[in-house]
Amino acid sequence: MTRDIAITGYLLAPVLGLVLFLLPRRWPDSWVPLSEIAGMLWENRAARLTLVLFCWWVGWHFLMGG
Amino acid sequence: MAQESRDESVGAALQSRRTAGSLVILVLSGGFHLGRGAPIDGAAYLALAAAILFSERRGRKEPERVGPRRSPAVTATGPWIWVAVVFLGTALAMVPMGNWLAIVLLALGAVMVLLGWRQPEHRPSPEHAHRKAVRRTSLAWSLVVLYLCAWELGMFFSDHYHPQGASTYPSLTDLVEPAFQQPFTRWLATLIWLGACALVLRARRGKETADGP
Repeated sequence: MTRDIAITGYLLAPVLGLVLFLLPRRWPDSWVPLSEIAGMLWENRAARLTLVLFCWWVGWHFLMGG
Repeated sequence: MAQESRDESVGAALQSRRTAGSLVILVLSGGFHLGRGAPIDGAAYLALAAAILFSERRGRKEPERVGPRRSPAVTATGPWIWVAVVFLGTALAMVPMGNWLAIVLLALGAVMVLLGWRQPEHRPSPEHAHRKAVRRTSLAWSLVVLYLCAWELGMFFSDHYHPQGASTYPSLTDLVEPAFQQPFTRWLATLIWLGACALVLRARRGKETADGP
């Protein structure tokens, strides 16, 4: 039971992400697409490199066995 | 003129806040990994934080020398990058866990950071009316990311301090790691990971190309 709640908690994040992904299509004046937010983050070197390092770390973490 | 100047100062303040926020995230992540007994992971985060801090300070002291140098878009587009992802992913999935795999992955990380270091072309900041929507969306995405981090941390500490451990309170690692154990799923997961890395690095280039002359 606790394990199911834990897994549901993880699944909630992509569900919320999907909602935020779809909101700009329904209300384009109130919400902007993720690509626009990403584009603004990309302008900043520190933010960009933080994301790049995190992407690399995911592979490092799992390929090296946690 | 005054509006332009105001936009510039708002833009500079935002940039400085994003830099500070990113540095805090890097330092906290590095400290957390050191604390959980993963020194290479921790060192990677802290080394990047130090490199960014050094570069920012140098940029402030010598703006004319370091300045906001802008790099042209990298033109490595087309199917070649995906062919490289498949080849590299297949090779990586075949290398057994150990020093060689660690060396290759660290080298790959260094290349990714070097590619990410390039400063993209400047994009105009959004209009005032649009800023509210940008702020609202940014906040919502940040809350989702924070929620996921909080949940993962909760599971991580419950897993560590609860007698029933990982089976009752699985961290994301406990749930995803089995995919990296079997040869076929390890290969597939490696390809997905490398593909995602390529998308992250290419996303910026796509924008640059689209905005360019």
